[in-house]
Amino acid sequence: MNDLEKQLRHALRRSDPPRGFAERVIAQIHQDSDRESHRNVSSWNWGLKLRWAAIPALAAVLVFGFWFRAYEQRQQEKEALAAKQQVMLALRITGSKLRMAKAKVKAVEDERLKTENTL
Amino acid sequence: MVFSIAYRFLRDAATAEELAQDVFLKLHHELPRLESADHVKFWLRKVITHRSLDYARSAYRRHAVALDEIPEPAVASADSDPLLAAALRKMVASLPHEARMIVVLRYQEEMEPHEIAEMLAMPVATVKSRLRRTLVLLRGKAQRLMGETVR
Amino acid sequence: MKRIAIFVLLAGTIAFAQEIRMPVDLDKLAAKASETTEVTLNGRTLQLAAKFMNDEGDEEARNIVKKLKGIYVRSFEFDSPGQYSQADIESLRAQLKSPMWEKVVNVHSKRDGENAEIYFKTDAGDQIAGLVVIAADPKELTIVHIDGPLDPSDLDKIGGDFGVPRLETRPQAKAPKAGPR
Repeated sequence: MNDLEKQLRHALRRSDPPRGFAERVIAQIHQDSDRESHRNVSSWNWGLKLRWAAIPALAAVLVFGFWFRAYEQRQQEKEALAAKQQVMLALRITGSKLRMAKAKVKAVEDERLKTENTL
Repeated sequence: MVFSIAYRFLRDAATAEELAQDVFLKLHHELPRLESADHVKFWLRKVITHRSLDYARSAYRRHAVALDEIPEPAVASADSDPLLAAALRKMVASLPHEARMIVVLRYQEEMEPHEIAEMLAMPVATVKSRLRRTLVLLRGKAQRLMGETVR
Repeated sequence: MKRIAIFVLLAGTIAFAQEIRMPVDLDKLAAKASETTEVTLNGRTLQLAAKFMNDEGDEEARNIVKKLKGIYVRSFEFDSPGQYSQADIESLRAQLKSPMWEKVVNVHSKRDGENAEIYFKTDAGDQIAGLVVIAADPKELTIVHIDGPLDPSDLDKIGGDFGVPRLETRPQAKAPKAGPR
């Protein structure tokens, strides 16, 4: 990556939201869910139940904003480990073919020497 | 991520927060239908990208807030130039909407051109050529501004 | 026979580096092969892999890999001979006829049908900048392309089989004869 692109990555690196952002979002969600529950007061609405159940998950996503970064980091590690395995596989295959070629060259050379010694 | 995409694109902290809040509110409703963390991440990126673009294109605009109001991370990278970084952010903000979003997705989110193409529903070749032209433009502007060679 | 296909495509592309392109015909061979190994690692993925190659024994591989721009392997095993032809790899060989590439090994064995070709790409400074190996026998075809700088010592190390003790190249000292009984 050239210098400009490095500078762009730096200049555009992720910026954290203002303080209190997560709390404001969760508050908004609670308000929104309260409005929903008042509209559907008589029935045990599975959709609503799921959304309520999702609030803790959503709160975790918001409050722990670095969750995605940690997740991305883990994904990158997984990708890197998989890549490492493939690198080693590729190098082993290459090695075996190089050794095969080397053995063949040696065999040809040995045959040639044998012929010369016989003559 | 969500706030940051909107913020880097719109250069308006208040609007970015508003849009991000809307997106999370929507996520709250969509969450049961999303299948995995990857899906959530993809969904969030896509929605905030399109919301930001729609906002920028719409006739209703709020006055942009100066970038200085939001503090940048305290630790500066040893190999970065803060003046150039600030200049680049301003230049990126002056780009046409789609080019600007392509740059944000490429350099903030580190998305590949084919991922950006899928996100913006445009051909990969278009993404790549816009990225190329944008980099040429930014390089030229940066050089004129900084009076030095930016490779 | 059960078909086992092992596709490990990490870079999302089947094109080799800029100069060398995978012949389209090779993809058709996968359909006939009983076992296929496919590795495509571009520069970015290699750098990522190199960052995590910190275990004991990884150092040699890491030092080689971190310089490379790409590693590409296509290997096909067939149940019976005659499932591929030289024509399938002709378009690859044609790309290796460019002045940048030099064939350094070309061995054909009529006895067992094993053939090996090794090509080096050299840069302006006459250093090795790429390697292609085409290894073919009646029931197996393997193509390896390593794009990037390689020292001759790197090739020694690669040929030494990472993770497996190297075979002795010097003759072993003969064991002393048993003494008189």
